[in-house]
Amino acid sequence: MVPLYMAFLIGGLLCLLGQLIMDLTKASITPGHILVGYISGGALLSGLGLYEPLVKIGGAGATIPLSGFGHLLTQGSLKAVEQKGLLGAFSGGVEAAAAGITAAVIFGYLAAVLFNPKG
Amino acid sequence: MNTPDPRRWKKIEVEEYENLVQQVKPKPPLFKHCVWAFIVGGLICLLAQLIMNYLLNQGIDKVAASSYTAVIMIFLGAFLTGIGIYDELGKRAGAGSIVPITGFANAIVASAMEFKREGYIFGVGARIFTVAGPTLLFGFVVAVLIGLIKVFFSS
Amino acid sequence: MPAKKKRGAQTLVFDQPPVLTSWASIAGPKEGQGPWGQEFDWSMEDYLFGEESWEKAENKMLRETVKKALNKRNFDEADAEILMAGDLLNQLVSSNYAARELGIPFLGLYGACSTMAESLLLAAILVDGEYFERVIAAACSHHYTAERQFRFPIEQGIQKTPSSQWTATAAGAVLLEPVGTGPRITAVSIGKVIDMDQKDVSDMGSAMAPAAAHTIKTHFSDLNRPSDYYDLIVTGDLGKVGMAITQELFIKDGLQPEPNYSDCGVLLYDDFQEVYAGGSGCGCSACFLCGPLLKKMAAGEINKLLFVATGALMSPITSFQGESIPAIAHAVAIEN
Repeated sequence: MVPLYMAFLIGGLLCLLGQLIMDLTKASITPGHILVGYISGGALLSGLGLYEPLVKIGGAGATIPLSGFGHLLTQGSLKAVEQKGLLGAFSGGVEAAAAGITAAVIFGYLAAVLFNPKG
Repeated sequence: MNTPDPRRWKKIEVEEYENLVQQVKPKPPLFKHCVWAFIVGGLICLLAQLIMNYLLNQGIDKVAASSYTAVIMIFLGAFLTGIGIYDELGKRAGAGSIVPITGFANAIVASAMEFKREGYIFGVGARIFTVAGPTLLFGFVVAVLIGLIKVFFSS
Repeated sequence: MPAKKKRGAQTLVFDQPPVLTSWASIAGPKEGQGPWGQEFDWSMEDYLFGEESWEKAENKMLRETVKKALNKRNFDEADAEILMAGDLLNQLVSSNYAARELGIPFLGLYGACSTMAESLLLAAILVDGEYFERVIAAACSHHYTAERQFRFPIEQGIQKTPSSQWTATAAGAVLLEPVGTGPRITAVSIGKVIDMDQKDVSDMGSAMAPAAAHTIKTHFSDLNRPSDYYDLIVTGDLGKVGMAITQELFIKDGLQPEPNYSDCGVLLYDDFQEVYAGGSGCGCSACFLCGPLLKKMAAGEINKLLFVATGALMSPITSFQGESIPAIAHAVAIEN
């Protein structure tokens, strides 16, 4: 198991990177761009084999930032390709992330039913 | 006699104006933002690691524990958004609250809640993916591409 | 035949300056807690104003403000001849639905945050031209309806930049008549759309300042007036950043002596209210004019006011397409 301080450190650094991007680049970088950048970046690094080492030392510090979600998608895709070939390239990513995506959508719906935006 | 090209003249004015704006415009407090982002992001990941460690200790296998942890963090992000706390956190923590998966949940839930007044189909239903949509789309695109590359090189 | 009332390039002077005989303003919770909170006719307790949605609340705000302005002169809706109003929402729904309830012949206007000056100057033209005798000019905005349309869902954790502004929840309405007691509109300058290639949608001030400076400069040169003619020049919602830039532009344009200048967006809130660069929205300038400013004019504390509301004329779609932010500013000279 990864020591807690490493999770804190790696997670903190990944967020710090995001903050630097947001504050130091031109105004047009929105949170949406950050989310897309991180998930794609994580997926890409994962494909190059560079993200797994980060997970090994950072644990949740690497899997919880959205780049970790991208890593999950790519690994899912690669494993499914080993098992199913071409079909796996399409099904693998979604399958691996299914629990997370569904949870987000269902909780979103529930929150909309139960809560109102403050104001 | 050459009359000055009005477009070039305007370009100079525009550049001068941009210089003036950059002089006057306040810059974001970078150090404060970075400290907050690092600490809040780190704490969220720390919390997730605690949950993960607990689940692993219960004998749950690594992949399942990872999934459960993600779902729990998503639930937390959704809940804090629902009760109206996550935006307060986001104001101060910036990337510290956007980058972790809780931020992804926040974007989805905030959109869903916001458009409730337009009904569940065209309000909540249509808008729930407004911010999350591009995120998932590009995640899928890269993952599928990498999978296809592997297929290509395996055959 | 040259137009008789036109001066210079963009300015009109009125032979029979229309009188602002009555006005009313409403402020939202945040605005009511600001430094001028007591100067508005009402302050809302919450953002829903007893309605089911923010859009319905904004519609009610405009409606009630117009009614109040009329009631102060012992008129009701049937006495008003024309309503000119606008807001920030798509298809001007707040104004349209308010006009539906009010039943006054209606002209909807879109000038983004410059709408109050736009409706005021058009109303003045209708009255001076002896077309109508009781014209209402109004504008409104609501923080949450604007955020939904232009920016992000309320509960999303966004970090704002120091140059961003807070769309005011406020409305203002004023009644113009050809004769009566009250300050008068003596001249108006219609602005051009000015675009200095600013693309940062979280910094409206920088985008709008050139338009404000251009209209003000043109106003003075068209009328051949000295730049310290007015007791106060006030812009609608340039905010701290836009105001500072405008002051630099005054110097660059050679506006000497320097006019006494301030901005409604900066004045409307206290620093601790977390509004970053200040207020924005049609309601910001509308409520400030139809509250604190006109009150001071009635009391004789200000006798010559130049009210310059500024608007940023982009939409989310043009911003996504990479377009810059064009802006416009209209000036209305109000004198006792």
